Amino acid sequence: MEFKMQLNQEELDVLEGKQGETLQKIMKTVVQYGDLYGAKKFVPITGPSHFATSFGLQHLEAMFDILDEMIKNGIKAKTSFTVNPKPFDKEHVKVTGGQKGALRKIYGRQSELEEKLNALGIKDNHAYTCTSYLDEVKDTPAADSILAWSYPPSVIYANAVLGAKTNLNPPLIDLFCAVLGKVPEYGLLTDEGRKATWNVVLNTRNMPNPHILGHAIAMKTQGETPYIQGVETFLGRRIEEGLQDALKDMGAVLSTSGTSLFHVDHITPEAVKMGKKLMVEHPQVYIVDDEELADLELSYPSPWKKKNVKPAACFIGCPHLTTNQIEYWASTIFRGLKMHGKTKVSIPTYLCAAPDVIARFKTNYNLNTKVEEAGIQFTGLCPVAFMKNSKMLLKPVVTNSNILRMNANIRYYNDSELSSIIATGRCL
Amino acid sequence: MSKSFNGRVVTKGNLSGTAAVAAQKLDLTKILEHQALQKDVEGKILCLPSAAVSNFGGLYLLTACKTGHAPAAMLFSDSIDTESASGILLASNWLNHIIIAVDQLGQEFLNSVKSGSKIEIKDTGEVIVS
Repeated sequence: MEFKMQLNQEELDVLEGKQGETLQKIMKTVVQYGDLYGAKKFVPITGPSHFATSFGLQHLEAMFDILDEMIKNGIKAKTSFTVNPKPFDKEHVKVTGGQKGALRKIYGRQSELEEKLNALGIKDNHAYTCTSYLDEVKDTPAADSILAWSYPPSVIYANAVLGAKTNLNPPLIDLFCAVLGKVPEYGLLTDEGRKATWNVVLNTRNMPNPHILGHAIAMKTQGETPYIQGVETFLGRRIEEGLQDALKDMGAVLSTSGTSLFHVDHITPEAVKMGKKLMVEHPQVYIVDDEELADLELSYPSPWKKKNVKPAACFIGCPHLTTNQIEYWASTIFRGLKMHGKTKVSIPTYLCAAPDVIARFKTNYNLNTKVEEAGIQFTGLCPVAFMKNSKMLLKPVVTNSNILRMNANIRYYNDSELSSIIATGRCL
Repeated sequence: MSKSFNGRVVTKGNLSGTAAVAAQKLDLTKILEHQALQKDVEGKILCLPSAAVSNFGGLYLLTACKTGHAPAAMLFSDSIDTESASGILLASNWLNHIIIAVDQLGQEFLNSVKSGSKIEIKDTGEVIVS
C-alpha cells in the first residue's frame, strides 16, 4: 500500500497486519483518509469520544458487518464513548400502531445497534445525547484537547465554545480513530485551519434569536469559519447559562452548512487569547441587522395548507436542552398557560434533553412537580430522527428549533408564539 | 468532440462508461432511499460537485456497494467531501469493492458532462468526456 503520512514503528506494525487483519483494515482506512486530506502524521486523541451513530437504520447493513467483525475480534474504543440520542423513546413518547410500524421499518436494528455499542465500549445507558459535552454528562472535553468527533452540532460546540480541536469526521472513521487512540492531523487540528475567513458584525438592537442568527450566518459563510463581533454587548463575556445556550443553538444551525468552528470576539476561548488575529488578512465581511433577520424568520414556510391547525405535538430541544433551558421553558410555558387561563398544556409537549440533564432537573422537586402537573413531558430522543419517520411527518408538529425545521419539515415558531400554541392547542 | 480533464486520483482504475450527472451537491443517503435515483446511478459514472453534508452518506454508499446499487465510479469537480471519501475507502478495504474516483476536476468538467455522455477514466486521473 502506498501512503504519504509519516507513521512510527508501532503504526507501521498495525498497518502491516502484525496485530491482526481487522486492526490492519482499520489503520489502512484511516491512513488513506488522512492522506486524502493532507495529514502528515497522527496525533493522540486526548479527550472523550462522541459518535453520531446511534440510529439502528436498516440501510446501515454494511456498517453492522464491520462492527460485527470488530466485536468478534475483541476490538473496542480505547476509552468509553457517548453517542447521539436514540431515534425513539417508547417509554415517554407514545406512538400509534401505524407509527410504530413505520419506526420499525426505518430503525428496525435499534436494539442490535445498542448491543453492539455496549460491546464496543459505550459509557453507560445515559450516554445517548447530542450534548455529551454538558457538565451533567461528565464527559466534557478540556480546552485544546484533540478529538475525533462526527456529529456537526457537537463538533462545532467542542471547537468553538470549549476550544477543543476536532475535524468533522464521518461515522466509522470516528470509531476507528477512537480504537487507534489517534487521529490524522489536518484541518481544524492545525492553527492555520482554525482561522476565520468571515468577519461577522452584529448590528442589532438586541441579541438575536440564536436559531435565526445561526441560519443567517450559515447562508453567508457556506461552510467557512466566521469571527462574530458584538455578542458580548448583549450577553456579557462569561460562557455560562444564557450565553452557553445561545452559542449551542446558534452553532447547531451554523453547522448545517458545513461550518465546524466559529469564534466570538471576547468570548470563545481562542478569541479571548488571540482576538482579531484569528481572522485571515482580508476576511469577507457580513453585517447582520434586525431587518434581515426578521425577513429570514418570515420566510420560513408553513408545511400545512390549512390555517388554524391543531398541532399533534410540540418538540423543544434540538439540540438537546441544558438544565437552564429546561427551567426557562418551564417558566415560559407556565406564563403562556396563565395568560390563557389554563393549567395544563393543550398539546403533547416534549422537552428533549440528555438523560443526565433530565435527572438533574428532576432533583428540583418543586419545579419538577409543577412541570409534571402541567403535563409537560421529558424525553431523551432525537426529534429529527423521530420526525423523519414518515407517519409522524403527516401530523402537524411545531418547534422552536430551526435545525429541526430544516431537517423534518415541521413548523417553526418563536418562543412567545410557541408558548401560546402550547397553551391553546391552536396555531396562529 | 471529446474534452479531456485532469484531476487527483482518489481510487485508481481504468474504466469506460456512461455518465449520471448531479449538477448540485448530492445527498448520498438518497441513493438507497429513492429508487429512481438508485436506478440512475447504479453501475454508472456519477459526476457531481461533491456530496451534501449528511451524517450517514458514506455509510449508505457502503451499503449500496454491498447490495450492488453503487455507481461504478465517482468524478468530483470539487475536492472530495468526507462522506464520499469514507464510503469509497470503507468499501475498498472492508468489501473489496472498488469505486474508481477522481476529484478536483474543476467546474468546466461538470459544465461539459451530461447524463448519458460517454466517459473514459484513466488511472492517471485523466477523464475524457465525449
